[in-house]
Amino acid sequence: MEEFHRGEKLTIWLTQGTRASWDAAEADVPGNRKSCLTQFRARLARLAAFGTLRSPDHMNNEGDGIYAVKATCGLRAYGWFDQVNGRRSFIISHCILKRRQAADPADLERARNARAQYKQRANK
Amino acid sequence: MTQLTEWVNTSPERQREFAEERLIVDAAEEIWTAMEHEGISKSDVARILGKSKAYVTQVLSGSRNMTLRTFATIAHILGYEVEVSLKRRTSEAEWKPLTDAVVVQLRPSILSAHDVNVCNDGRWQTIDSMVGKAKAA
Repeated sequence: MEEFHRGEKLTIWLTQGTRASWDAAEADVPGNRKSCLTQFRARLARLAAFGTLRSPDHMNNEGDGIYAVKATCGLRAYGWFDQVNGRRSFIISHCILKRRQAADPADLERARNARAQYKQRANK
Repeated sequence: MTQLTEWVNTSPERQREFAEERLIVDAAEEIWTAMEHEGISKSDVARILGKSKAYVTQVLSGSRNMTLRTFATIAHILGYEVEVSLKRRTSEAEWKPLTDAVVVQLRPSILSAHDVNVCNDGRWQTIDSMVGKAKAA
């Protein structure tokens, strides 16, 4: 895992493969909505600073411990909360550019699989 | 420097844009926190404002600019007031790693100890630096 950002309340980590999906998702954001990339990171920064995002426009509980950090253009970072090296953390499994309002079950399954692999490796 | 701050610091335009987005997300999150605390829904806010729920959604999601007047009005509806202050920006390069350190905030009215990881606030000192100063004296 690689550390993406360390805030006052938690650290955001990227799993193997997160970066590739993130780059691919951002490449699909229309040219006139590139400010959304900054908005996405500002929301992640707030999550790291405060440990939570209250607004459902900013973060969704997708069930089964999987959460999605959202940006208005459809960017989503799927992940889960855990303790890493004794510090509260949000671990991002992958990013997508979502076209529909409802979460794609395949994306939730992908996040669950990434979490299962992570837990196996971490022996949790 | 984290991957996030590296990305933000790529250009002055990006830094400015990030500062804008941080303020927008902070304002919306503060309102949401107050709404949750007071048990007031988005529909309630819309009704009291005399606006549609869609309007409130757009304002809180950042897709519609929230004026200072609207911010103050929503805060008032929730029973809060907005506190505004400008802080001088600090460079992350000035941040000192304080992993596993305990620091003491030196203020006359409050004396408290907290675990922190990094600090760029001159009011905070590590125990080590305080001991060093005491020895030097």
